[in-house]
Amino acid sequence: MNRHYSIEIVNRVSELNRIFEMITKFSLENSLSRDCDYNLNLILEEYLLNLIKYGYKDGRKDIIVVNIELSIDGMRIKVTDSADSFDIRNAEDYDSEMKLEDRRVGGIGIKLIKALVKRIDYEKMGENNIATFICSK
Amino acid sequence: MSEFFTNLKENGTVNIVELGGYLDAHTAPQLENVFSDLIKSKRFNVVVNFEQLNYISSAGLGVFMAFIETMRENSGDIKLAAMKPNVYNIFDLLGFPLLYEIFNSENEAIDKFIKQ
Repeated sequence: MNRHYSIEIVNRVSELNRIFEMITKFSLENSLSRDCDYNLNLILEEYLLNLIKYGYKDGRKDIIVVNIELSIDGMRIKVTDSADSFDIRNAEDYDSEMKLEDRRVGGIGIKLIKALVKRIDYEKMGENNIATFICSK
Repeated sequence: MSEFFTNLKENGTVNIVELGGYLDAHTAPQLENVFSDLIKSKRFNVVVNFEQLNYISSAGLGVFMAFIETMRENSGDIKLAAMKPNVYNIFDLLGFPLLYEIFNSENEAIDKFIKQ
């Protein structure tokens, strides 16, 4: 059993597959439930996709570091990057009360992340953004 | 992760899209192509069978949002069927059961088209 995993990826969408492979391994080694495995995939796909698509307007290359850690009271996911500042806690999410014709795709991922985690922390340290998500295991 | 796949079947005027595996940012374009082809061939009554789908993210959900209005404007619909609980949960979190008809089985969804 390894209760802590860390991986570095380049800020390219194609790199997400490496994250999924790590989650599969992490879930198996720690006997995580199917729901927990699902949520872990979803939180990281949504956050990283948003980061990679919108966080590098100048197209620069970056290394994103993802840490996952299990503790007694839950799971901590930490993402460190040097993208443009983005505090997901203040991001506008999708309005699920809207009529179909008024709905737009934007914000769905943010809404899902906020629904699946217990807490989100964000801090800016120098050039780095550090986002931490706490969720149930 | 299990490979994503789609399989298209017909039952009278109803087109059934079977989904399997993981529907995410990488695989959503494959489903977009399926819906685009259905619209090009003027087939607007669609049942999506989720029975073998293990995962959906916002990229996958976006495909259903992108095509539902076109189907309905042409007197058709996209009806959803046979979701696993964790997949249904994602639709539910976003209030989609108010916008899409979701059935326990493919046959129930087909019957709804036939009775309309």
